[in-house]
Amino acid sequence: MLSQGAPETAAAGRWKLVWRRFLRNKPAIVGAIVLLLIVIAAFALPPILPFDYKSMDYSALQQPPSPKHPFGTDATGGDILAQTMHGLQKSLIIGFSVAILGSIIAVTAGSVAGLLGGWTDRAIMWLVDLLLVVPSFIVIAIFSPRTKGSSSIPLLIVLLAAFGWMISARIVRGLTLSLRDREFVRAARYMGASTRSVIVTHIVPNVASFLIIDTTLALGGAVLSETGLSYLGFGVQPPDVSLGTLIAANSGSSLTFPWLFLFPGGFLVAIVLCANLVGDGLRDAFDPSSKRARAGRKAAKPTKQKVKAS
Amino acid sequence: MTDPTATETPQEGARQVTTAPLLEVSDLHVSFPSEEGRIDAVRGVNYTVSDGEVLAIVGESGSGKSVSSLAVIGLLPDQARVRGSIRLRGKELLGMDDRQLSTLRGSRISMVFQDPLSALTPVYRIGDQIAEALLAHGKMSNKQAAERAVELLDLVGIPDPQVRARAFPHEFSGGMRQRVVIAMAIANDPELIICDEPTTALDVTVQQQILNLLRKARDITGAGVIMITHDMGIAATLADRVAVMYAGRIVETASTAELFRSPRMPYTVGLLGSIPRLDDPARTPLIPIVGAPPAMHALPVGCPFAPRCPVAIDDCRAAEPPLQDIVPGHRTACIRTAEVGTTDLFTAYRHEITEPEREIITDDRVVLRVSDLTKVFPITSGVVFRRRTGEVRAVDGISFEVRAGRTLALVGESGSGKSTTLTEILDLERPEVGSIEVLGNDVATLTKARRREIRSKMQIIFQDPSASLDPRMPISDTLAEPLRIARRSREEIRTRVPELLRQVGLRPEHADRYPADFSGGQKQRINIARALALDPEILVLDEPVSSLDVSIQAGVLNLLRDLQTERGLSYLFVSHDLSVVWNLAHDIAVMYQGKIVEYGPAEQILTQPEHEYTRALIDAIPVPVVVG
Repeated sequence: MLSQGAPETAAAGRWKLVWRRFLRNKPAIVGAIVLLLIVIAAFALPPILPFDYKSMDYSALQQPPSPKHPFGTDATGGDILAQTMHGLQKSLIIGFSVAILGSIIAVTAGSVAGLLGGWTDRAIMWLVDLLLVVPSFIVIAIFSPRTKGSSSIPLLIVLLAAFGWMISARIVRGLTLSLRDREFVRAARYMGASTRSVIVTHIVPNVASFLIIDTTLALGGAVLSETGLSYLGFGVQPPDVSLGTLIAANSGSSLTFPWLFLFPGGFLVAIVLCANLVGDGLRDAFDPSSKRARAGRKAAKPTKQKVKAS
Repeated sequence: MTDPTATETPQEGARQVTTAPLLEVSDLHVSFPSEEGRIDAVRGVNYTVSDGEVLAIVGESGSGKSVSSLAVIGLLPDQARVRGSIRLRGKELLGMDDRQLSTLRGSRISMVFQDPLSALTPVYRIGDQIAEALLAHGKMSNKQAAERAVELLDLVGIPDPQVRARAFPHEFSGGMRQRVVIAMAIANDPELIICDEPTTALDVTVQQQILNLLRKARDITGAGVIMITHDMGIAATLADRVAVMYAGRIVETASTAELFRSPRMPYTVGLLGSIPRLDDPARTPLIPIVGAPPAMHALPVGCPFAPRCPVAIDDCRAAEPPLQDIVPGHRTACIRTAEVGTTDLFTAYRHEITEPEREIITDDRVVLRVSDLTKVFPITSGVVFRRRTGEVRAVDGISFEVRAGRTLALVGESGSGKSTTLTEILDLERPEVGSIEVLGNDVATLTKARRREIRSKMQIIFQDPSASLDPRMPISDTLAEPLRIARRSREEIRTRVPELLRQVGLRPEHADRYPADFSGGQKQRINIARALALDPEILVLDEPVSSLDVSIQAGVLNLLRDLQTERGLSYLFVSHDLSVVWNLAHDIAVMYQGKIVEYGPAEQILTQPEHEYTRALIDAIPVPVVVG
């Protein structure tokens, strides 16, 4: 085998191939870059700003954007830029953590239930049904003494994720049931593959399209449900701010003092939009039948190079 | 036709006005985008179909035979680019928008797909689905349509059509479903029926009935029929004219009698030679066409068949030969037709095969023993309290043995219990009744570690090569999967994957592709490669070649036979096709309704069949010979 002249082209493997296909999707790349910039801004900007989210500038009350306050100020002279950036930190952490954690729970529970069937399936589905009928806000309210204050963010994330995965899990279970009888899953079974490796290598990539859409939608949902909790007195509490509380507090003045509402709202839209673009790109990259991830008309090799270079 | 009735006269008139043939396809090109750039799937195809004529388009998978017909009905995916001309009664179909084509589809052109399972909507009653086809085009009331649907069901030979029209697709067998699909296809009295491998998914005895039904449908509607098939036997029994396609072009076309009597294109001869036949000696290597069909994105200069052709000369590689008349009505795309005749071609192929290899010495070790295996599925009724109202004896007390280095064929049609038997064996769980012994271990007493070990020694190859490959996994990962499960090192996996690909006759650079980029035959080779990855001792072959076309099938069968000789593999080979079984098996067990009705050495069973079911199976094989 080694004696052959031509160098062996090593197989790229699944993940490399998915990555290569993702790179061909320009909107997804743009989305990823913008998302990255937002994350960097949210964490790098506040320390170098002249104001922090709590400080009040009494010389500028309810002022439109100016060089001193690029995003304007609110009624108490708070700097909207500083508040938005601080809120972004909170919302990014909460949104992404809840969405990803929820999806992980959903895919694990759903695929295990679908793949194993029998009693495991029934037990997991009972749990799903139970959680669906339990009013989640009341349960979170029971935890409320602990969730007050900003140190409770991890607990808030866990609670939000714990009550947000059930419907996705049911869908994943349904998809898994149809995959279970497919011959490639049976073949893997007869090869002696463990349940875990069947889930990771076959089930997850084949339900990826659904999962990705679900996660991107859950991202926006998590930011907003955090706002709802804050309104009820749980989650992020004043003077601490999140994107959600900013939007909720300022939505009333969206017509009179638009800068109060537009900047936090714009960032939320930007995050969800970028996450959607990245999600679409990932979905196309995972799906071999998608034509968008295919190489263009030109020969494949140069195209790949060009995309990588750009 | 001697007695023209009032209804026929306008039709006759219409046919005289348009002198154009029913369907005229000229210079058709179709290309698709892919990872390697655009693939020209069809490269300049010309053919015509006249009324009442059956044109068989025969070719290997990927030859463009399906694509060229899907273009006619306008069902190609959006990314396909189509060029050329397709005229139905002189009216250009290419460039029509989807709405215009929709009025033609189903009414003037109809289609019978390969898979009767997915061609019917599972949630609607059969009668309603046929009525839907009628209502989509015809102007009739719901009641008339329902009545007509029952008539159509009767016409295609569904017994008790009144009652069966109210049934759902899952209550029909595969053959019955295909009859329903044919009923839908002829519902609006189309002028052209396109059949895309309509019998590939069916049992042989059912196939025979469906072919007869198609012939009847042609006679009733007077429609032209395009029969896309890979089976030369089907072409010979059904078609008036045959067009052989290779690498996106028609390479030989002639009347059926002419083509089968004196094929002149080396490729056609190769196809005919690669069919396993019951009159050949048992287990002889088939004469495959060497090599693989060319990669469509990088076609060689010159005749695309030249690299595989036994009579190719240097001139063949200079330019692609055009399709030329050699005798009127018989056209071939070969520059050597003048000097090389039919018999020379057959001889040339025969030269290529090596001497039949000696039979391997088999020790009489039994690697798999099944005794008195019975599997009963209970039929229950009631929702809350499940009452057992009956049972289906899917497998009813069967016993057989597979010896080391030998092949046992389990022959039977769908519903005979073959698949249940396989599942019982592969599950490695204690059967309800009877016992299964794998490599000397009774499966009822296996420890977890030992079961794992046996799993790697016993691999399965499924019937459907597409369904058994994860569509989202590139081939390299598919082949690496069993190695990873067995915790082999990364280094070993990296060297083993290209090695496996080469072993089954694929190119290592294919490793980065997804299964969708391969043809059926190639997918089955990938499946074989995956099964071989762990050096198993027993291969369970579940109809491994039944969805492949002949030259590929010959290649796969030879591959299986070679692997057996090389590695002393034992095969449990499940099939319904006796000619294939004859070519591979040492012993045969014929299964019918859960029981083994005949069991013994292959020679004895196929030459002196004792059970009438075995005889029916033998008779149903379409033979690639034209009588008369």
